[in-house]
Amino acid sequence: MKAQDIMIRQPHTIPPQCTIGEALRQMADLRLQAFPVVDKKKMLLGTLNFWQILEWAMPSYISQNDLSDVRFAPDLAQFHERLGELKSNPVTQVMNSHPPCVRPDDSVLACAALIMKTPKTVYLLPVVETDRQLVGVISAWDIIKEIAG
Amino acid sequence: MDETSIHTIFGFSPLWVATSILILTYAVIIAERFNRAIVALLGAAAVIGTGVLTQDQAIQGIDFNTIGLLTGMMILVGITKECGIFQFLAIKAAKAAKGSPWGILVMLSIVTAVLSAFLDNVTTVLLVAPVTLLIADELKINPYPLLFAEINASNTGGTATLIGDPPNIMIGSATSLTFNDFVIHLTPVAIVAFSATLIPLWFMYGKTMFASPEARARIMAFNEYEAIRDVELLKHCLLVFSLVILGFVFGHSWHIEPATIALGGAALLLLVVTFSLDNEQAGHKVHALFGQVEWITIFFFCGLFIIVTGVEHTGLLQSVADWTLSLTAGNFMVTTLAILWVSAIFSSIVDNIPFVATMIPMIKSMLPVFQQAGIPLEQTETLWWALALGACLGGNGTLVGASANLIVAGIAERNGVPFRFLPFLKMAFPLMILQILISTLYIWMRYL
Repeated sequence: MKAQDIMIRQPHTIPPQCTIGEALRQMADLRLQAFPVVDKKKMLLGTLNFWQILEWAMPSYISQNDLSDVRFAPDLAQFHERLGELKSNPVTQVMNSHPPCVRPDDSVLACAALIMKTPKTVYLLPVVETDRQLVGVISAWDIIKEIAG
Repeated sequence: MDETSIHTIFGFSPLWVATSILILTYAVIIAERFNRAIVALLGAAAVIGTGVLTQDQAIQGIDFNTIGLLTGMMILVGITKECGIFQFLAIKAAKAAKGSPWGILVMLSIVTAVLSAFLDNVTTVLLVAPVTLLIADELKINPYPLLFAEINASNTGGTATLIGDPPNIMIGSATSLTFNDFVIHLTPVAIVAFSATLIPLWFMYGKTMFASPEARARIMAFNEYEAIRDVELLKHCLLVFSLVILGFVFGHSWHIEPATIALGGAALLLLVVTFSLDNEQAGHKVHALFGQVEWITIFFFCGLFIIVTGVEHTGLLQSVADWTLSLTAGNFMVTTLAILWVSAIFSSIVDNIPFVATMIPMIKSMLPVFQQAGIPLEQTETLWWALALGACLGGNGTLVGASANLIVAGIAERNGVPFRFLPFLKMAFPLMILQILISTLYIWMRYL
């Protein structure tokens, strides 16, 4: 089984000028955790996932695990303020410009291995041709469906 | 090794070989190019390999009381930190200050100092510094003054007890001085030095620290009880910690050394936390908890003890002690104060552990000279207090003076708060001098 056999062929994409706030709204509306960022010619520029936005907005002493448990703080004013500031910025500020990608004829095993190795960064695997033309995406769900038979 | 068995090594006397190994090892440790445990162990291997010491002599040179005490306390702290008590105390302190930035600086410093008096300084700051960053973030104030004060508090608090800082552990172990002796002789001066430091800190930072009422309300909304992750574990830890402290206080009269108490306490707590687990789970748990031991520090100590035993064996330290006494003309007061100031300056620049390891046998060889000169045995103990105060408080002088300083700087830098060597030096070195002046006055008034 190859990547092209299980990939979604018409994935939802966002343009590089899309703001982080707009991307978050689309994530909430479409119940998607990640999008490929592509230009007008469908060339892949990067991927954006919810994790990356969270990491940017979260104070570094929490995201870097210096302080692992913050249940004692009822709310973090700094977190909301940073998220507020971030929302008007373009997605290119936080997107991963060099995401792991697969080719259409890569095996499903290779896709599963990539997702397993980098679970925080790979919510979806872009499937690209050699010129970075996006032809589809594979999410963890597509692999689960394949495993479940 | 008796005198007759001393031989030349590759044409050099053992004294020169041991001295060269000591200097080379210390130089490489200071350069910080290689891990200090590896360097110390290689130095120790060279001491044995060149025949300065036999393996048996080298093993006898390792102070297992220091090693056992350090290991035991590391296991105890490793288990206790999981229950969240340290975060609880830090938040409780911030709330007790009603969210006032200066009040929080003072209260967090007190918590850091008290914890550092009973736990190792690095663990204390590793747990308190991140909470400090969060509090400063909520208050929208610069966290630098709080972290700066915590570094000072950590080293000053560590000075107060036998178990507070490695130099004290080594001194206590090498002498007959007890936990209570350290409390009686060092805790008062540590409290004065700590309090006195707050005055310049008020003028440097306190006067201009401000937080809005909304920001202060955010701190007061923290629920410190949520920081406690495991109430059962907390109860067990507090019980065992209390027993260990009681053991330190009363153990000496039963001839039980601190290492036995600390390791016994660690074993007891390990038993309690694995009691309800099956054999395999308990095995994994104990394996993970032993992993909490800072093996780098432990092996660093082992290597150093062997290297210092090597130079001690060849008579070098006796010669340096004699030379020091000739410089001070055998004057007890001058020698004591010289030890205090030299220890402080050295410890602010280099790691105080190798320095103290070298000084202990030197001071030991000075004691008979002073006793023969008619100075009472009890008064000669002042030399140890001078060494402890100099070595521990000296760590406050520069950013590289103590491990806790570098740990705080590392956490701060990672979170966008620059901690640079020179700006730190400008503030910290005068504070260290103030503390050593207070120590000088204390020693002079109480002992000389």
